[in-house]
Amino acid sequence: MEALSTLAQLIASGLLTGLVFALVAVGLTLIYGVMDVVNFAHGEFLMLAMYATFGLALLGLGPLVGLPLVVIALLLFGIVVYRLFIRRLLAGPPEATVFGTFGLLVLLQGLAQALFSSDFLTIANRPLQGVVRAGPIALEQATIVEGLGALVLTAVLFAFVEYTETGRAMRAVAEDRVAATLMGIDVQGVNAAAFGIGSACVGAAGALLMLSYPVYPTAGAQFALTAFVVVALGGFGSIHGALLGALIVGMLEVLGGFYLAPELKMVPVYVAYLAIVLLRPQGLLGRR
Amino acid sequence: MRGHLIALAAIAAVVVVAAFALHDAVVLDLLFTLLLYAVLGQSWNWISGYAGNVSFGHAIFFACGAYASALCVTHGLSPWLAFPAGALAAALLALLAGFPTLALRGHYFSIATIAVAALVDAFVRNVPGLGGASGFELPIASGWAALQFPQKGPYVLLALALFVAVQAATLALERSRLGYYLRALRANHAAAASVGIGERRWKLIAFVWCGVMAAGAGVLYAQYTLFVDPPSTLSLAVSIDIALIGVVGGIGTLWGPAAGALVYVALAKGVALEIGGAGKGYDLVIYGAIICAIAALRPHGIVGTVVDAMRRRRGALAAPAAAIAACVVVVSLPAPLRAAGDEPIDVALAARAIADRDAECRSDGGRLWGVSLCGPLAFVDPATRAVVANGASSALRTSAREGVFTGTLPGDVAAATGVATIGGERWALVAWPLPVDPVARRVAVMRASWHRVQGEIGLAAQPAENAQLDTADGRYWLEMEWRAFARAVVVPADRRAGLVGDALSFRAMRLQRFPESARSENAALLNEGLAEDTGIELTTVASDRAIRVVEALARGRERASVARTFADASGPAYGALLDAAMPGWRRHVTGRTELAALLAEAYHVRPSPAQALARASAYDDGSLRFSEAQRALHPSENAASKPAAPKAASPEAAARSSATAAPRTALPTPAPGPGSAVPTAAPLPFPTVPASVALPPSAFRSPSPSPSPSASPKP
Amino acid sequence: MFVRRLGLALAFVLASFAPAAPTGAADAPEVVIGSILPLTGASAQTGAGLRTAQQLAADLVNGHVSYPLPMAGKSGLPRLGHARIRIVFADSQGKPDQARAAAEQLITQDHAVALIGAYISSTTATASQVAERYGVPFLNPDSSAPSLTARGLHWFFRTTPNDATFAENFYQFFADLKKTKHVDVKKIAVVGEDGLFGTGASDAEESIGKKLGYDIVARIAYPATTTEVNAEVQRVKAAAPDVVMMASYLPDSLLYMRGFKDQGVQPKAIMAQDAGFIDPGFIKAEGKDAEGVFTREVFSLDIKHRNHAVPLIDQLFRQRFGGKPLDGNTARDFMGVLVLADAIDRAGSTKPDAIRGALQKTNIPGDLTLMPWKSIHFDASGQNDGGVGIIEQVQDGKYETVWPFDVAVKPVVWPMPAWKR
Repeated sequence: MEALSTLAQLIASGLLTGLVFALVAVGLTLIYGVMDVVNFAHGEFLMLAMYATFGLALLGLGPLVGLPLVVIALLLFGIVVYRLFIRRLLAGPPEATVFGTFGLLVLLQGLAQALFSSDFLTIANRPLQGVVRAGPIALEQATIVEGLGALVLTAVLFAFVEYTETGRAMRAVAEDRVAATLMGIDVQGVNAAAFGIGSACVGAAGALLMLSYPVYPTAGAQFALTAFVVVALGGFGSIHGALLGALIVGMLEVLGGFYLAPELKMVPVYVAYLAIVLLRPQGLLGRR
Repeated sequence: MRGHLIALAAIAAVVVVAAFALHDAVVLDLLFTLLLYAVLGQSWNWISGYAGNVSFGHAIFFACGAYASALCVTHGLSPWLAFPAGALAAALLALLAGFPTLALRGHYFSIATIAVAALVDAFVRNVPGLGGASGFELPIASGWAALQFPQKGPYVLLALALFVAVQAATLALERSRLGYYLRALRANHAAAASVGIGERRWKLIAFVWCGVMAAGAGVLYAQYTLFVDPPSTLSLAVSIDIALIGVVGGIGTLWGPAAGALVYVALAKGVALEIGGAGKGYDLVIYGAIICAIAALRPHGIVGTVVDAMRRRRGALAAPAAAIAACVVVVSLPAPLRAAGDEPIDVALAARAIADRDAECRSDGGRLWGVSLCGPLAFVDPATRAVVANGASSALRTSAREGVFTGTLPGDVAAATGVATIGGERWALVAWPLPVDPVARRVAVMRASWHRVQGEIGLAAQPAENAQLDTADGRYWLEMEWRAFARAVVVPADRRAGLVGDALSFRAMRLQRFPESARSENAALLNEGLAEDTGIELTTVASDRAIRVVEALARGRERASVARTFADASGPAYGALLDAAMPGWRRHVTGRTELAALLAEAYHVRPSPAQALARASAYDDGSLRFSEAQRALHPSENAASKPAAPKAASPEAAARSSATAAPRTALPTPAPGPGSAVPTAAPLPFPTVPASVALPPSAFRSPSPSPSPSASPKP
Repeated sequence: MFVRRLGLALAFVLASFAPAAPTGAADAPEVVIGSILPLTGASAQTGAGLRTAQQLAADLVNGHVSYPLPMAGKSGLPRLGHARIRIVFADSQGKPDQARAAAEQLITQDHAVALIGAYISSTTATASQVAERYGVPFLNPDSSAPSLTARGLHWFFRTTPNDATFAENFYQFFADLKKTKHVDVKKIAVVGEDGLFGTGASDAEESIGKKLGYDIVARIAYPATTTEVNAEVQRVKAAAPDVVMMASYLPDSLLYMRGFKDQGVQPKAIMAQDAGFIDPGFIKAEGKDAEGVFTREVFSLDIKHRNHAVPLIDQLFRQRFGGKPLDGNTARDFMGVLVLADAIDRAGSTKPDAIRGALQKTNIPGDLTLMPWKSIHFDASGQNDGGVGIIEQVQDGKYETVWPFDVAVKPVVWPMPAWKR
């Protein structure tokens, strides 16, 4: 009986953990889908969003209240970074985007350390610190909110891509860039929008994560690493794929940690990733 | 072809000569690192450059060699065996990892390499016998058999051998069938497949060779550093470094990795030199910015750019050649790892402080003490011993800058506030950073200037410890004395005498309890007290003097311990009061002067402990006694024994609020002397001084030294 | 051919690697000590503090003001004609190979007579190996991996207690509690991150506990950078320990505390090995939930009644380091310089053999140091066998020293208060 309730707890935690990964990953996959760029500085955008949320909290705005502001800030930041930097990378050889975004990673981490120091910063008096209990299962309110945020974000993004004009333009560019240009779509504008919206998603993720985590210069790195695996597993460019991949990764990590060993909890994740891309190189729900 | 071979031979010749002729360990270490990185970069180049599969997990092959070496040595085998063993392990790993992943496109492959590297890391950490998280330390040995050498020369030769081999192999690759197939696959894998070029097969072959080369570098690394553990050989950071060398130099070119290694080492060194150890991450910022710049502006890397330029115009060679030359110059600079400081002393601020001090002491002109306080003054940063002085000095090795002189403090002088004889001259030294508050800053600098001449005045510096002032009784009567002084400096002249009498009576009461301390208290007053007083006197306009004195008293109140610093509060009060009643008193001060007696004489009062008891209730309704008793019980918590008093519009309100704040405790009840009534607190005409002298913190900016653990250190 | 030109240019330039000019000769007689610290990289902030502490100690040795500390205020090294000590700092960048290069540079170029460093255990390992090869004494004040003194080196001396000692302290604490409070600890869960720090601490805790007959009901290692600890917490819960010993950094320590609270894991005590648990962010983030948590520490300002130099040095340090107080790392590094100065002075010479001999004879009573140690005395392996840690407990929002009982300022609260829902 104990074993069953433990299992139930682990499954619930695993799903929630997966949703938190999805929260971080969804912006990444959008950017890739539209412009074929894997933003290796994704974790650092997350870190900046977390610092921004912390800054707003110092002014008295809690993470939930500050969320829309952080989203807008990251949207603008993403557009600026695209126009000033990513666009130049796209004009070069394919490896340029890889190393350009990696350079951005190092630069942003260094800036964070220089400006904010390496101290771990947590928001004082965070809301939603309680626990929700259902039978033998206990889940943190903050994590539930983060999970809900992931679902909302996925739904919103999906609706955006499906039903809005900009979204449709993005899909067109993703499918065939040349044809999209011929049809009069402003590819640069679409790219900028995609990068901005992807960053905005990360902004939402950062704001929500501040409910549970401290921020420090390398806070985004581990989330980002898992996000890359999630996105690759689910298929680059597929929003549903990111969600599915995240849930799988979350379950594997938590269940693997308990039934295998905590020090090996990432092993099933990586093995599963390699197995899936061996059998299906474009990821679970990826196209091309 | 011949060109490449000649270049290779030339480099080899130069390095061989350097290995034998140079004995500078630092330069040889740099050469070794350069060659090793070039080998690693080239091995990465095969799969990521020529074949087009960008790998972020290349460290696993490097680790194969390093761990093979560590395992051989710890099991008593010759480290030379590590070369074939590591190569074999790397080859097997390449086959195992490459088979599923090499058919993946672009980003999928890159992330797969990260996954594989993470798996290898988990494997090494958890499988017993592989060293776990702490890794291996190789025992020290010597000689070719043990593949370890006390000098660096042989290591450089070995690295050179590896480099030459790898470059030659790459040269051969470019002209071989494998090379052609790889380039075809990279350019258009579908087309290549359609002509029967098996992608997996040829890429696997390249991958295996990659692994073997990197493993060779790993063995050398282990035999050089003598330390192998997961973070230094298997982490993502190592893989990224290897990839960076390839990209910066130029993917898919023969000399790209060598150029990239040069830039990488120059960058790392240059950044460490310039940025130093402020702990702020500036080195990362520079590094990242440079990578971004290269990616955005020169994505083909250095060699790629050079080749492009060659194809267009020979003249365009100038810029990249200059860049390479600059890198090499930086690399060959001496002292690569010495931590350089950033500017420790803000020269502009120091110059202002010096100018202020000089103006003030010139306007004094020696009037106050009979001796001019102008003279050699220097600010010194204790951490770096950097000095900013107001005059040139060969002992300080000064050079002129922005109107002042920067230099370095010689090693035999303490880098702290005080007086020092440097190069035959007496210098007033003030430790940097100076107080932020400009008032406090000017006082501090003037104080130091006074200390410089106090010997000429006849007041020898003697440190005095007055521990009795930290006892409950001692501190209580001291604070009463201060309260009386605070009132005395602000009331009109005709009312002062009584208050001065009270203050000195409180002092007398204290000395009755601690008779032996009279001398040490006086010594402190003559030393630190007069210093602080002079500092205030010469840097304040007359109308502000009273406020400064009250500020000084307030600061004294806030301190947790006053045994060493009470004179900083009392001195200015004595000075101000003496100035009001006995101008020119300073000319009569000698080492034997008793300042309190002088003050009593100036105001014609005869203080006594009895008067102290009689007058106590006018200054304390019991709350001070209580809070001092509290302080004695919990010294660390009651740094400021009074919570911030509300801004009292009138003294009565303040007295009332402090009365309700603390319950009454037994006062030393004044024994009603014959005919003396217990006076009540008379309302003062100046509302700036409430009865409790707990001045609202906002009125004065004198920050108390409270620790804030999360504040970052100022550079 | 351009390539030929490039090759020749490279050859010319490589040949221009001139031997470094000798550094400026010192004017006054001085003794150079080389210090290897992580001045850039991830630990740069700590490195900056350590540098300040070491320089402060050197200034005190060269200065005239005496403190109840070895060698402070004697205007240099009396037996060497009042020669001043000068510390030359080199950056390890937090990497073992760079530390090696730094050590070599300090020995060969700066002619350091002794080395001190290097905080991060892996960098200390390589730097001290260089010292061993060159025959230069290496003093390590701040690395706690037990393996460092298990290498059989002859020139390596370590003043700080290592992880094994700290684990022993936990068990001594339990034994003392048994005597005074009749508290009986039986089942222990050991949790640690999977890097060098966590593994070393957990290994020591487990092996010593087993030797003393405790029941180690769980041994959990986890990746330090993990973002969730659900499985780990469930494992601890299933083991139902009396005490949980933790070796974690701050982000993971917060995850564990929340996990324990939410999942109803209520041990009688949580004993932490420093690191994340003493980060100021820990108590700030946890608030009331941090009450009752124990940590081993190496130093506390509370021990000022043992040596009244403690608050004085703390004050001096704060003036130099932006108001930050003295802590375990900086206090140990400060003492390290004094220990070296003491040995060099007693040796009466700058010959390495003499200094090593003097180090071997070091015997400084504990209350002449800033540390809660019994003494500074090196055993045959170079480890200070007089070192001891203290145990602090969060009470009313701050860490108070509770053990050893003769330096405690507050009584032990046992068991830790229940999680407040």
